Amino acid sequence: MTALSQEANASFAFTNTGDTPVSITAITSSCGCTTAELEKKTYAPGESGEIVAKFKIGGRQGLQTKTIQVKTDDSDTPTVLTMKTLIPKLLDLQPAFVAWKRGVAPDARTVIARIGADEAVHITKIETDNPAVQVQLEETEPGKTYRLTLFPDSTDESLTARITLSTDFPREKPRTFYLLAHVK
Amino acid sequence: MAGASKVAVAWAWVLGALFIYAGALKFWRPDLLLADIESYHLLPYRLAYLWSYFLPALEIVGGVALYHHAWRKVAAGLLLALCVIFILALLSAWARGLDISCGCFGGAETKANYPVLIGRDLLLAAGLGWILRGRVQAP
Amino acid sequence: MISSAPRVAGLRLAGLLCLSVVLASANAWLNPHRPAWNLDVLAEGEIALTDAMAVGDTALWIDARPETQYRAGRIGGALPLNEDDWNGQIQRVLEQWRPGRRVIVYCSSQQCQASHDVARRLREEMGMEEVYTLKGGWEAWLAHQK
Repeated sequence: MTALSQEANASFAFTNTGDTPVSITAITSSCGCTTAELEKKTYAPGESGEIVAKFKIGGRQGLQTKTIQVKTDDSDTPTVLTMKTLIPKLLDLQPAFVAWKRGVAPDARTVIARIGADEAVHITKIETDNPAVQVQLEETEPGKTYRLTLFPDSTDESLTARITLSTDFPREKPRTFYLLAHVK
Repeated sequence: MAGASKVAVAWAWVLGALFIYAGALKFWRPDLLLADIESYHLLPYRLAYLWSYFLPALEIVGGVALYHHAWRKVAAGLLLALCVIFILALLSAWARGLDISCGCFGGAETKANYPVLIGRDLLLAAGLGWILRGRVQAP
Repeated sequence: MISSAPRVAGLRLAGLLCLSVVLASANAWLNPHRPAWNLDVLAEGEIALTDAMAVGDTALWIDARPETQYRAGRIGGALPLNEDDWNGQIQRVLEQWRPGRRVIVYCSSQQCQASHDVARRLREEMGMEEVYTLKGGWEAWLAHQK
């Protein structure tokens, strides 16, 4: 699994260990993003088969747990198949957002950005949409780790600044990330 | 004593075990059963709530009662009525094009196989009918 | 002549039904997996439909359903945001949001998970406060329009 993976597949093998044919009557998944494929529905005694689960990752990240319920005609209890997929974040911001309490002294806050890919990824541009919060970018490890420092002008009023981080990866369609800084 | 035929008794034992097992599973998870009942869109929430407790209890009590000769016919009649209700509910869902096996996204999941589900309940109903039909006990 | 057999049968049936009621009641009392009797009980972070409508478009409405459902019909003014295309959709959401604005996320029904996932990401990744999921979802909204 990489940060850019579009799909994750898992295959669940099964065998009919009974002595009568078994049919799979329904397969349902916990979300529409996970589909299950089956070659055929009925399995003779001793026959084996495979359910292939395809998980469309979309914009998901981190640890994703999806389940598939398989109902057969020989049991009232469905079998639950669990698929866990760990999708690395292309850009992992720690903390994910920054918040200052109104009235408290406006101190500088640091956000560490880590690249979750093997290739070098560069933050090419950093912009704040609210001049009340200034931001500085430092490349601590080229293509791997960045340090962002945020300075609010004052914490007298509630506000939110949206910091846009532009990257150069992937080359065909470079990704943009957002970091919100709140005074509340 | 004109007793019920051996076949009917054997059937009663098999069906009894089936209903006790099916009922017990639902009995343990009324929350899952409630979600299941709701997917048929037939009952208002409060009624579905009550049914999600009552139904498993009926199945267990009916299943156990099938084992005793004096209670067998009454239990068979009760469970047969349940089967009829299930079949009607399935037909209703099928007619409305509901996908009762589906979560809310309607992705590419295998749709509920109505003929299989209805066929299964018909078989159960037939078995219960057979027990009901058995010879009347001498007074 | 009143036949006693049907009467006995009737009594036995009543017996089975009563026993079932007792068993069901015991289960309703003791089962650790009891569902909620009161639909008005709001889970953490949920907002009831009537309250959401009172808030109206002072809140930012988010539709967490798949794109096909969003295109077929949505709550007026709602922006699409779901995990299938988070990166593509989040910018527009951030542009429309401002500090202090409530966010109401809905998906298709009470059981669906998407609105909770989206709401969680908005709270955890963006630090937005006052993010609510709409109880009953799109289904509840439709029912109310009738």
